[in-house]
Amino acid sequence: MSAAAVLRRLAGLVMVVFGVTIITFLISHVIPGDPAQMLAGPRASAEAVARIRTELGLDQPVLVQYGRYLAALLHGDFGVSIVTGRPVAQDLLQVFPATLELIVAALAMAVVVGVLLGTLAAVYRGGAIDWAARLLASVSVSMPAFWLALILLLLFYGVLDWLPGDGRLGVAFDPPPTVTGFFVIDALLAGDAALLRDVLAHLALPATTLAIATVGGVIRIVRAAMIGVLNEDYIRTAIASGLRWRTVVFNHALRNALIPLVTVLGLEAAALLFGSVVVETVFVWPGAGSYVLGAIFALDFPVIMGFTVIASLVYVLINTGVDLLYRVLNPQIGEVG
Amino acid sequence: MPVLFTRNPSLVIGGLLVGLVLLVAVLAPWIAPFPPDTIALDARLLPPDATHWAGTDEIGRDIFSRILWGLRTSLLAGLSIVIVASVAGTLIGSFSGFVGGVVDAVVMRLMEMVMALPGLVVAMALTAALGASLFNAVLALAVLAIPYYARVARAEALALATRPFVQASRVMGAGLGRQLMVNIVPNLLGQVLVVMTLQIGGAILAVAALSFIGLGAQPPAVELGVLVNTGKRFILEQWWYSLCPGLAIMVTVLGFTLLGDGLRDQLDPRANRRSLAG
Repeated sequence: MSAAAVLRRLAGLVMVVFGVTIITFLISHVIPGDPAQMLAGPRASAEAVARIRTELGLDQPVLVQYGRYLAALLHGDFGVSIVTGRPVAQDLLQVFPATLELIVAALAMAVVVGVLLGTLAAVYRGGAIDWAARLLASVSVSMPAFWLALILLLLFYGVLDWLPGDGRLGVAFDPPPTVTGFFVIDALLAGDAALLRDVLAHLALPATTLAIATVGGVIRIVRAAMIGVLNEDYIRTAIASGLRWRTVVFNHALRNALIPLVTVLGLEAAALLFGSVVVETVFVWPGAGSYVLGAIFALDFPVIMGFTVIASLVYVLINTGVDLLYRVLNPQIGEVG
Repeated sequence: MPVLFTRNPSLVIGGLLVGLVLLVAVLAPWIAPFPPDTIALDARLLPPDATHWAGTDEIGRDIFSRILWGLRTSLLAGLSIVIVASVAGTLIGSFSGFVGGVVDAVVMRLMEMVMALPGLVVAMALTAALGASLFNAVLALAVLAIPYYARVARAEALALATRPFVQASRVMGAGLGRQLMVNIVPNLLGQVLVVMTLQIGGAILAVAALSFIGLGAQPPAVELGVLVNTGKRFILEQWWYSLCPGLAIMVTVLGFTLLGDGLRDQLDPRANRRSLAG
């Protein structure tokens, strides 16, 4: 991979981040009417509104306002929440680890199950396992995640009562000392087995919901890639030279079939970022999704835009990383894009 | 038909499901057993039986009838999104590809930028800013879907521009508008239609999800995501309330997903003809 390709990618990254801030700026400063009036409240006097407008710089030209907005963002200043009165960046930092833990757990489950099923479906193409895997994949991409969340809640909390249905932690427990912000890892580091069990039990339903919603995409791409790879000459050669079927599939073929998966996982991250909002509300998961949804109904625009900027940044960074990784994994495409 | 079924089951099953769903949605006013908004306070939260196939809601309205009416709203919203996005995207993409040069470069960078955003998160923010309503949710989702059509239309327009019949019409003095509307756009509609079928399922899901969190259709309106949301409070007792409208969403989206996959395979047989080696 040439340095020029990396530079081009990073330039693209800067462009996209720039674009996100233009969009969030337009949404928060231009669309919702008069922010000064909103902040001052419906009964404020004209002078009070005018004072707030001057204080916020809303009487300046739009370009100047955007420049200030961008400069503030670059300094990590996402504004102040209208509801809590606290800096948005501080609030978001506190709730994002819970959301990331959920997304990472869901991705891990989806990848393990999806790769296994996708591979088996390709190897036994047309057989029962292929049909089952393809059916699961179709259902997975067609099912509303918010509905699946309710059904899992009904089954495993309501009917069977095997798992807790809300929050990150039982009332009997205190959160583990914060190291990573991921309760699973922090509980492990604290060496508290009872706490770890409780954390995992709370994580199970929301993470499984998101995993089921994601696994379809994984199965589809792994199956398609695996079918392509199994057609290659070097696979035929490996089999003809007497290697065991299992060795060929898992050591030779899978390694190459996994390359396209990397790209799909990058794209799935967008669905997961939104999915977490929906799933967090059902399971009362105290993450960024619950936080931003509360903000939406309070018309707390600094919070909504802060979340959008951070989520977009996370998404764009993941995909740039994926793209660079892709070029390392598959040197053939390195110079094309 | 039987031959098509063994060769491309996705297309047949998907087509049948979509046909059924469309039929039910169109005929809802005639086949729904009850009006969707008749309140019956003595028949609240009834379980499913022979009269009320999916039970009744918290003020005694028949949930099955509301699902049929909700299906109309959800389908119409999904259709609106892909139609608005495909018309805008086709025009932008074919114009950009056909004109080329700086215009093309700028337009396509812009499209790539929109595609690099986490679409649903941005749609959520946009809808919140515009004000929570079904119209605004549809608008936000449609705008964010434009690049997918623009990209396909541009690629096709680039290929078409080199074809003799297009060059002939240019030599004969056809203006840009005529070339686009007579030569280019009609010839890329097939490709755009495939993208529409592939995307409409996702569009229906997205509208339902936005409605579920309160940003899309607003309660007096009957929409499937709203139905699941109002049933949420009763999930542990009257579980059928949320279960049934959710199933309706799933069947609808499954139909469109299978149909889209089937169409793509049908139009690009290479993708499906490879057999397992070894």
